[in-house]
Amino acid sequence: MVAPAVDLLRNPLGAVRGLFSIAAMVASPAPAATLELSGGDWGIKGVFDKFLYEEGAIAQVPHIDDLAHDSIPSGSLVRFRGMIQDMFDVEYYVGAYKDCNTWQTNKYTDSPVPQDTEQQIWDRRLFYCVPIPGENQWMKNTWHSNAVQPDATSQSLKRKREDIPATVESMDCDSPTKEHNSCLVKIYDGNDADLKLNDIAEFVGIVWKESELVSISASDSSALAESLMEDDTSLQLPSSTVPRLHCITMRKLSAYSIPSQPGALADICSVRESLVCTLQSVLGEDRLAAEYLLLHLLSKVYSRVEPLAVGKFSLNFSGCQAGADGSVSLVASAVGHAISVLLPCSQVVPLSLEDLNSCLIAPRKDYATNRLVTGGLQLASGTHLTLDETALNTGRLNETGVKNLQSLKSVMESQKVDYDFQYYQMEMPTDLPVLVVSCGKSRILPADALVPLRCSAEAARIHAEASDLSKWRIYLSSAREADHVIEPSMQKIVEEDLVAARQKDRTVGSETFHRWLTMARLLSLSYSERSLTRERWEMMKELEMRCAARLRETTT
Amino acid sequence: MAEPSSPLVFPESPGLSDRVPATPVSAARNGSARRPRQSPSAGSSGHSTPILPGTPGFGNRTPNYFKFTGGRAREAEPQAEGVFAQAPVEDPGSKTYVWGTNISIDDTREAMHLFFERFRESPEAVEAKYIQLLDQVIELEGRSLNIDAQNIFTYNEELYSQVVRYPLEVIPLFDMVVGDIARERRPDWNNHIQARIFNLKLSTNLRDLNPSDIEKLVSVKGMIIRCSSVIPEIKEAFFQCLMCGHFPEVTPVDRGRVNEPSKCANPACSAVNSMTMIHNRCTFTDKQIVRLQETPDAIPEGETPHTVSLLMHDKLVDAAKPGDRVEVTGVFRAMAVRVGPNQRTLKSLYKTYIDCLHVKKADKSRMQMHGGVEFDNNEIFLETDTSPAVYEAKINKLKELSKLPDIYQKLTRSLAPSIWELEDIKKGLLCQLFGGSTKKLSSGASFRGDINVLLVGDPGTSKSQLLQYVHKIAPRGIYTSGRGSSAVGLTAYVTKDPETRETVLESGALVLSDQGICCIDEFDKMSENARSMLHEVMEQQTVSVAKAGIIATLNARTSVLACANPSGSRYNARLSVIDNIQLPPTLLSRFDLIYLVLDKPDEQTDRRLARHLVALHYEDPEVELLEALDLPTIAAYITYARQRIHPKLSNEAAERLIEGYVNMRRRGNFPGSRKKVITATPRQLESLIRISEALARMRFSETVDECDTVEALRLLDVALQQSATDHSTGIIDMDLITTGVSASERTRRENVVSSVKVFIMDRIQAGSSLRITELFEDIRANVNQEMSLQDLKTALNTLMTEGFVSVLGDNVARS
Repeated sequence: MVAPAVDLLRNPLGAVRGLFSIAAMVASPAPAATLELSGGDWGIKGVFDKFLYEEGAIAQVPHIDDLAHDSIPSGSLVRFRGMIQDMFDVEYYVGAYKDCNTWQTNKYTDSPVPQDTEQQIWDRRLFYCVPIPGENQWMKNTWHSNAVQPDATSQSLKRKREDIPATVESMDCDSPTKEHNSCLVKIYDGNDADLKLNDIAEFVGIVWKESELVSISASDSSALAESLMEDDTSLQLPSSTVPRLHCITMRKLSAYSIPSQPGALADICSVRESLVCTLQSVLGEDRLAAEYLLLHLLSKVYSRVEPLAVGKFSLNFSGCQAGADGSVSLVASAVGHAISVLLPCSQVVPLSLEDLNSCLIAPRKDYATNRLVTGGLQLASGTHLTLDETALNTGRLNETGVKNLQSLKSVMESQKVDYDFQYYQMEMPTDLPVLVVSCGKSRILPADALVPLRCSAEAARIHAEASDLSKWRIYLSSAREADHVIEPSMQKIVEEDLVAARQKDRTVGSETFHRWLTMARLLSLSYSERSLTRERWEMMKELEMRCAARLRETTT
Repeated sequence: MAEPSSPLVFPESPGLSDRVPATPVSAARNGSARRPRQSPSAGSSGHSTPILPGTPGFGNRTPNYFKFTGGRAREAEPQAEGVFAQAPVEDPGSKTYVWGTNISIDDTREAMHLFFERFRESPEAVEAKYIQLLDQVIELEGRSLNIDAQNIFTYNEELYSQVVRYPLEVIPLFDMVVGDIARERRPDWNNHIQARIFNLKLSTNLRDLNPSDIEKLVSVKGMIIRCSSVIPEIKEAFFQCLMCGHFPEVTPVDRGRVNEPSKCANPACSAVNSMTMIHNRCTFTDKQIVRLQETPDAIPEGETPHTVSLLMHDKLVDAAKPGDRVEVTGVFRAMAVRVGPNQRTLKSLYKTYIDCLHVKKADKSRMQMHGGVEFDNNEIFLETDTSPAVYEAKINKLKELSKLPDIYQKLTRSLAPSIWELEDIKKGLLCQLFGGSTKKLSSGASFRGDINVLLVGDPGTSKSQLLQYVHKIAPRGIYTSGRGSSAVGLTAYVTKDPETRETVLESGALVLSDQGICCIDEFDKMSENARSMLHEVMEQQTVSVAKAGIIATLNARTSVLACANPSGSRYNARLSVIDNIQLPPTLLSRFDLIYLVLDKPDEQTDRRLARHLVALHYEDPEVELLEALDLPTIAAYITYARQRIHPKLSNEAAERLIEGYVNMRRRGNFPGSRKKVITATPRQLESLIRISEALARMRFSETVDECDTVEALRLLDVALQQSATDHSTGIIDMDLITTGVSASERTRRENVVSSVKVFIMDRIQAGSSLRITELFEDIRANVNQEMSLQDLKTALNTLMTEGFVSVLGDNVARS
């Protein structure tokens, strides 16, 4: 396939139409063959993939939200990075029509077609995408400054923005502003095969805005047409606020990964040590808590055996003071801030009665609009949640509040969120590491591990050099993605150990075992080791012992 | 009443049609020039027939036929380009064809006639199936005839494929043929009968509908989520002259338009613009837009459900309500969206919908316990359950499962496979899930069939996980934590423990589940108030709610599965069950099975647990679970058993039960001992019956056989042995459960009373008094018997009721 000599960046539609006409020409002798055109993409994706990723032109493609909406002309090539918040019904459109005996394509556009022509109906999928919820500023900067700006200048800018205190978001219902910066992505040719709800992806395609602000009245104003239009979700989203992106190619991203990773880190141990030290100062010089926090930050669900989500490691810091006059507690805000500069996506949520009672945090389907109403728990996998239980006052929880707490509980226990579809609940697996900050042990939100904080100093905000920060980020993201195995000999040792521990203390049950195995794994990963060693196992037991000793102190 | 939806525009008789100029019958739609039409072909996703807005649906079936000269009949192959778009030449020898195909109208009609007249479900049937059905319809003055597409397929595969591929043309033919036959059967019949075709061989997944399905007959399953209000649509307009009162024949609606006569047809009047429409003499039909959503089980993980609009007509309106699961058969259609009214350009979008022919309700959700087939004669197009074949297959699979010799073991293994050991407890839970049968005597007394189970045990023995699992497969179960449950109401309260500063949630939501299993975690932490409610639930199976002066008694036919921690957080083997759980004996005795989930130090078990967990974390854990049945299968199995299997006690089983029960009671009698220990009560006998019934259900057996009773006896024995063992004698003692005091304890108390009595007779003169503490010291010093202050007080109370002493404050006086 010869790439047509058109500017893919400025005139992508020209390229599409060029490729189509070549394909149509090849097929034209046999009339039936035009039908075949609908299946393939005439090599478009290949051409663009080569252009964007191999030749590196992706950097020149503007981000849709970097530009003012008016400044993007319809038909230009843009990219959009976001989370799939809702999936709409399949849209049927006129894919090709015959104009003066030659086939024209209407793919990748929303342009009107002349009536009374021979037409072919094709279909495409519609995804409603929103900016990634809880995405931290540094992550946004990394993406947007990716190639546009050289690093030197952006560095200072980045630093400045990072100093902005951690955003504290109450798990609010969707406000009207939510539609801001969202995008309706239209996907062709079943390229969506592996995209799921709450996935993060970068879409590259042609932006399209309807030329006239159409008052799409169904022609005959017949009741049927009207009622059918009523249900049309995309009509509720005028293209003036929600641009349409006709996706040509896309990349699926994960919430853990950060875009550019310049090689492996030189000295894992020293990076780890410096990170733990920093976390220690954040936690008021509590080394043990810092170690636990590091493991917690590395955790992710790696397998599911109903009803268990293996690998999750939720953490509960007890012994924290509530913040003054209902604000976020000091520990929660310091930890929340530290996490926000370390992990790509995170949120600090104060659990206040008012917030819990006011709106549902689990997403629900609104059948009147035929849309999924988002909630605070509709987050991409890998988003970190810090729940501040110190903000919870005595008072009455209403039905909403009870449901909300149940949702949070189900996230902590099985990493699942029940989406409310009115007639039934749909379980959505998720992966949100949860850190609970509370006064006493949290009874409402049972975490996998409980660490009573022993602060010898005030919890302090993170202070670090930008170079350190970027090292830590790469360290965390690579450790999180790594695989881990156990040798048969080590497996024997672990088993023996577990049995012995149980013989000694009958309160040690499967919960404890799960915690130990998860911690041992995370500890190994934190040293960038791919298999479990005796040393790490012993280290884990040491940590647990110190933690248990603290727990005994607190209870007596 | 003449039906406008009948094929008005279709040439009525074949003979006549031969003479008719060969123009497309429904040539120009919407005033636009006839568009070339491309026959849809399977496999291609392209299609070129935009149906304009306002295209009549099945309310007004407008077939689209074309007539070709005989020699030019086209192959039924896909043809683009509209080669035959030119007006066909008039030819006396021509045949009428469905546009773009080689389907001859006459041949098809002939085939249909044959189908109706010849098709019999079984060779022995005297009368043709559909003639019989049609006679019924005529008898009932019905308007529709259901035709099973599978029948068409068996009789004539070609006809079937014609219906599926060209429904817009072929189904009106069906209507006509049905009408013809109806008139043959009853000459004065002039109502229109719609042929409603259902039960296609292939049911399409809503998600898989694609452009190649447009204008094909499809069948999709889903759940109705929204119904529009009923839209009246005018079918025939009635006009009357305002001047002279003359009224012409009703004017049928022509493609959504009514042509108002501009002039009175009465030659005597001939007034211009005098015709007015009389609304209540027009005829209307009902129409409704319904939204169908995929059923939850068809949605791939991590996606949201798809929806599709349905257009319902006439009797189908309101046939299903939001929340119903249905299977609809209809024609998938697309409608172009225009940019603006009166504009020639179209937006490039199409709206799709299914023009419904037939709706079948298929509610087989796990909630349904009384799954009788509801069949309403008035609405013959409504049927329950899925297509018989699929349903049969499913049932057969379950029946096959039930025939496995190790089905009992298999089910046990499949119950909470992630939990190790606890075999007998799982068996008990299985019995609870299957349940015994409720018996109602003619005298009005009823015996519950629900089995209640209590699990008591050490923390960390996966009791909660068991509960969660049961809750998941149980039909209509609720799961609640006893901690702070307030029985009624849906609110909760957050409190703070003043000492530990722990925040505690007092949740409500003990809304009891009728016909299901109520799982209560942390039963021991339940408030007295809420617990007292359970007394009624567990024996009478009702709940009384008093609110605003009205006492309402609600049904609560629920099994209770509770789990409790021992009062001292760990089970103390030296104390009795009662002392360990601190539950009122009245409540305890209502549980059929009480299991102690004790964490016995056993290295072998520990090792297996450790190995299991390590494997869970490091290996592919799927492998070892293969043996088990998956959750939906178990749920289906249980639901089917609960609905359809009602086992009866066989004589041998009854004998065995009696024998077993007598044996249990006899165990308390020791030869030569006066002490009588009750080892079983009638409540246990009832439990035994229920458990045996549940066991029979597991095998899909209609009779309770001896093997069931033997296993039931064993299960009860296991449960009792664990819970009702008197720890001072090691013998099962039902008194422990029923009164909380064991027989040996009772004898001891009697002894205390008699010795105290003797002592008081000795020490206290009639009329004088003594302090209790002094008396206690005295007795302790002089009586050779172990006794606590509490024992003494109990004894004094007994004596007081006898009138032997009187207790005033701290003083004891002999009366």
